[in-house]
Amino acid sequence: MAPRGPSDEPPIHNRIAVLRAERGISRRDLADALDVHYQTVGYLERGDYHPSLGLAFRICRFFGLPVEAVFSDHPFEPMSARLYGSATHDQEEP
Amino acid sequence: MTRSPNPARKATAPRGYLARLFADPRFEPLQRRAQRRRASLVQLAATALLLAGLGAVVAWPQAPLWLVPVAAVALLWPFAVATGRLNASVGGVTELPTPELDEAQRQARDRVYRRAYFVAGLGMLGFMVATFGYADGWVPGAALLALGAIVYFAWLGMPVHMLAWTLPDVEDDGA
Repeated sequence: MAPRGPSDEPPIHNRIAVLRAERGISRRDLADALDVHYQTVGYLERGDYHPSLGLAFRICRFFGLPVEAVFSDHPFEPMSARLYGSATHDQEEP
Repeated sequence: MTRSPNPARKATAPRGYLARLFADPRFEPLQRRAQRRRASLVQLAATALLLAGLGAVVAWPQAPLWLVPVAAVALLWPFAVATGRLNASVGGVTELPTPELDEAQRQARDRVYRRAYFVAGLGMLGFMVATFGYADGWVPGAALLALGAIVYFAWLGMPVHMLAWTLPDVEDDGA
């Protein structure tokens, strides 16, 4: 499936896979909660499909997070880098 | 005061029989890319077998009458099974009514139908150009048959085969 305008639109990054894994939710359970096909969850997680605003709000509501915590127009910083990145980086500095 | 439709209503609306059937987890292995493409090839082979078999029976002047229904059943059975597998492999996207599809499925369906209609339109245009010389209205049967084949395959067959070959794969569930 072609993503929602992959070539002519800037990519939309998301943390759906991280949030789902963090909370131990299966793809099918999330799909049932959002009323979408389970493969659509996979497409969303991989960036193969960009959700509509309505679906994006449903996803954020499901995780209880603000939109900017789940979606971004620039790549998310990895959680490990956010938590430990600067310290590790500092240790590696000569 | 009129109330706008509740966007959450669909989430609780009961799904139809076909939607529940295509959502059966037993079809999940069939929805892997390799399986989808295999189902597409098998369906094409079954279609070719059906057409060739029925064509041979009809073209055989000494064919006993009982052979026609027997051949039809014998050839339709693998065709029906192969078509069912192909539809299941793409989650019934081309079979389900629009309200039963989610937005990604609707987008995928619309994309393949746009291309299918374009190809069918080109086929019809080609037919008109090819038969332009027949000004008295008589068109060779072979040309009509070709037009029928183009329209049939472009409108009915091509969308589901395109989905089978182009839908992205989904890896194992991480949770």
